[in-house]
Amino acid sequence: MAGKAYVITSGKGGVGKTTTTANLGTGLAKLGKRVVLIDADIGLRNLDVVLGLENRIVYDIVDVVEGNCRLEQALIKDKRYSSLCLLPAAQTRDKTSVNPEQMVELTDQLREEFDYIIIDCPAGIEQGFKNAIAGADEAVVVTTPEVSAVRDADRIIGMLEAEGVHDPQLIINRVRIDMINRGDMMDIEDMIEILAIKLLGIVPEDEKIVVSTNKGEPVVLLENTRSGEAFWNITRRIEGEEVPLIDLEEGLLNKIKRLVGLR
Amino acid sequence: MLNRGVTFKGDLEGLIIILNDELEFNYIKEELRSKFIQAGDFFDDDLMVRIKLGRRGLTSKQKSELLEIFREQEGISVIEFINNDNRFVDSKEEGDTLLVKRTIRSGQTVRFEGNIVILGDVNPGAEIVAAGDIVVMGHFRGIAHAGAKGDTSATISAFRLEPTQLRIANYITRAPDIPPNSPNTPEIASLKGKQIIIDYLRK
Repeated sequence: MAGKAYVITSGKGGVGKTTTTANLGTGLAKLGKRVVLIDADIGLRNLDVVLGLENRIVYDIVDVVEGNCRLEQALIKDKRYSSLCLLPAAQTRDKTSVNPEQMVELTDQLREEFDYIIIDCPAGIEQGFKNAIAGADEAVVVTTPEVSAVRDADRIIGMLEAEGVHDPQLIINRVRIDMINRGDMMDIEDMIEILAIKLLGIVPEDEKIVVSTNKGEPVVLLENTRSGEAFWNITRRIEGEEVPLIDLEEGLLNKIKRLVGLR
Repeated sequence: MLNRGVTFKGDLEGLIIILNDELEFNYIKEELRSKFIQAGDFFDDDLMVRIKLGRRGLTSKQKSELLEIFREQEGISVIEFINNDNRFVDSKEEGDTLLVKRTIRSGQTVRFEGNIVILGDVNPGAEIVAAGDIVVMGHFRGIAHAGAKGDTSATISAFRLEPTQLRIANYITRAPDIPPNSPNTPEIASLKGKQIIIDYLRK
């Protein structure tokens, strides 16, 4: 069966695309799936660092499209799960080194070998974004409870639809319940109402993310972390399981349940 | 002036400038300069230039005169000399070492057909590629490839050597996943058999 390609995108930078990609990929590999992660952020690669694989890079995505190496030579096997691979971005090149047609070709090739292809999209709406979404079947839009991030997410959803990637799903990242309760942060209900796409999950703000990112160990593998638990639930939802939303706070949870039609 | 001494060609990797080896050096130099004036802003950023010398051998002085002309051109950063047998001319003489007086940051590459000396740091994500040796008078944290044309005697040394990856000729090694406490002293990497080893620079 041919694999499915997901693009993780957001428009705005710093909302957690790379973290989401790393955790989803690792989570799916933990479930026994064959997963390849593509870092489409050429020139500003990060995914290798977040996964702790930087020192293994010899060839990258630009080498593959330029024919300097075979695709298999550029795929880096994860330290923890042998069914997880990374196709790193080039650091010394820029987004124009790859074009959308080449990305389509690449994802089609990878579809044969893997169950999931997860593409980490760069911030912005320029060529890097166009490359990243070119080969994708599905999209996950990551945003944070900030007006600017939601504005950008809305723009991205529109662009995805224009490019033929329909029904993107939403992850709301870096949620701080204490701030929402004080009314200092955007209400999740409002966000879903504005963006009007299916909610895939909510990830609480967590210091552990910073630690895990710096160490190169995805938080989804750590026991007893709120963010790790949230990413694990999202992973299972991608796999088609019905998983209730993380229990951030009772009243809020019920509201959301109602919104996504779980109740 | 007749334009028969200098030919500009392009390929995927950048610009190739062919210098007619039958003409006098000063004549070539002038033609090169006037070609650049004609070209104006035509050449964009970070253009890699290789100069084909044919059978011509250059003295250090001639070489630095040529380099001076290129230095006047903004955006042309990396220069490589190629003669007929595809080796760097006078490859063990002084003058074919590239001295870079700045810190090399992530995404930047320094490539040279000789030795490279960096007066500064090399950060993670930066790449230094030399046909000869690499010396970093600072903290080395990036990727280095010494002996890139196959010289197994090439070495990589730094005041503080904490590389992401080291390559010498066709051999490659990477940093351990849990970084060891590196000694607070200059070190040198070289090839021993098929393995890249790191030792103190001064024992």
